[in-house]
Amino acid sequence: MANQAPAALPAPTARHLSGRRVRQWIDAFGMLLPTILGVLIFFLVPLAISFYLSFTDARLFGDPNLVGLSNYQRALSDPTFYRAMWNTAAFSLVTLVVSTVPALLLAVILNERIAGRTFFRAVFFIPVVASVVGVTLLWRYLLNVDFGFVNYAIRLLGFEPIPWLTRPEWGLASVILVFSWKTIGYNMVIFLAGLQGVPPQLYEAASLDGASRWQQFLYITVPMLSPTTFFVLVTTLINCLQVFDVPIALGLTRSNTVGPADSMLTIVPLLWREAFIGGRMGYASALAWLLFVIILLLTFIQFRLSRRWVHYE
Amino acid sequence: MASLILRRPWEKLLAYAVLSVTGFVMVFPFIYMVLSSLKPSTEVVQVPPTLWPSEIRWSNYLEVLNIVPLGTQLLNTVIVTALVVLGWVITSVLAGYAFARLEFPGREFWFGAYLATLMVPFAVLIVPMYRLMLVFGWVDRLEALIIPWLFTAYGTFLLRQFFMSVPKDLEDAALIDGASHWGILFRIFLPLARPAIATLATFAFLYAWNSFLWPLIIISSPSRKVVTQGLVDLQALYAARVDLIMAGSTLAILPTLIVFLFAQRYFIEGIATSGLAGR
Repeated sequence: MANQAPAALPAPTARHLSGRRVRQWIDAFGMLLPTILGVLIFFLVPLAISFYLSFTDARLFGDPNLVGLSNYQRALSDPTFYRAMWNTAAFSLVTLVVSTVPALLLAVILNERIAGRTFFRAVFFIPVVASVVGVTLLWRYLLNVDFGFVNYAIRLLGFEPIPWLTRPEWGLASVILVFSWKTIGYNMVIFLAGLQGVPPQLYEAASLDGASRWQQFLYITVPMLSPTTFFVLVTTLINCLQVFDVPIALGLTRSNTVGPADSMLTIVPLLWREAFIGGRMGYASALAWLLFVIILLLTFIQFRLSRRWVHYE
Repeated sequence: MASLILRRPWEKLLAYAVLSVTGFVMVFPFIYMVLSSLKPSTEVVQVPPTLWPSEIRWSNYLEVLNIVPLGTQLLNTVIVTALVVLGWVITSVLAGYAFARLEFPGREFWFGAYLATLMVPFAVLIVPMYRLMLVFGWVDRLEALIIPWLFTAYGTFLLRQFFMSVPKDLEDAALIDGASHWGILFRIFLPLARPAIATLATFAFLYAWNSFLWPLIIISSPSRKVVTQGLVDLQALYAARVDLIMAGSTLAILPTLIVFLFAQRYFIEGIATSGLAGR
């Protein structure tokens, strides 16, 4: 900006500077051009089309006709939609706990000065980098009712084998298991970064004052970590609501159900099935906007609630 | 920093027990994958299961490459991934620099608006993107996997944060010497930004290598599919040949594990500083 120029410059630079400012605008525009084009063509245009399509009877090919709100009405009276909503809600709620609490526990342990912490950190992170589809296929066999290692371990412990992938009542549990297994390492690394931002002097002062370790955890770690916890909860929830790869790679059958009796069917797999197998693009677009609104609403609620428990310094 | 929680020896022991058990759960599936990929086909489905192969069958890898075009699909994935990584880096460096160091009207507004695009779930875009690809004639072509995915608000954010942390003196001196902003970006800022670029590149790699939903929609010819699709096809066609499916999975997963081994720092620090998602 012009006012940041050194004051000692001679008078004629005023005009020179404004030329330089215009020059800067042009440079900025040039550097942003690829991004502007990308956002325009591959984000804004599709976004508008999607909104429009959600009010039409668009099929895979051919011209769409406007049908008003009927796609949205149809969703709200479609039992499959409710099933997918219910599955998504149950999956998200359980995963929100199962993929964060162990992550916090591991992060607290790895925040200690113990030998092998970088090794363990890397080990826990391996599932994060591996392809979702690849590892989900692995789990498909690990969870097999006859020759899977999970049931082998369960039998060793003296329990009945669990039909993870073959009975509807276990379908969602399997998705939660695989998704959480893959996400714990990611959440752990974020918690760890948050823990490392807590000044050690706080603990020293507290222990001088006679606070027990549990009290220190409760009154120092938990509040100091709350912005990190908030971030983890918001991102995990957003990812859960959009889950696709795990239920599809774990449960897609030849008849295009997702899991036995659609027990693993969440919103995005349903949307995909409606659009690209059923060819109902208008209906699928309406589902997408319903999902979008739900995500916005839940994120907004989380931000509102966060005022009560998140402490920023 | 002193040990804050673990003071007594038995507490340390308990901590190591938790770490070891969790570590085992995290790594075991990969050990199972590699060992199963080398087994004779009947041995993989045997009850009770065994871990170590009775004989090592490297030929499973040849067989899997023969029955499905997994080799071609791996090559497609390499091409797509390389170009997407390159695209992310170029567009993010340029946009990140402009947002961090150049003055133009509405800069903060446009940056905020760009970040806001992250709020929109991908699900909203898949149907219209498919129709757009129909218009462009890119359905069932690799272009569809590359060209729409060359820009990213995450990367722009990451690079902008980095460029903002560079002291202003460097730039001022160069400006007085008459250097252009492009010159300053390429000669001064780019070399400094190597760690940030490495972080971004690792995420772009993960994102592109592991992507599944979009290829599933847009690519249908076996010879143009990417490796994640190839795996799902393999599973659907040869569900009983667990040995071959494990060989295919190993081929798909191994490259990411190798990249992770070498670029570990950038993955973990990148996530820790930005929360960047490698989905």
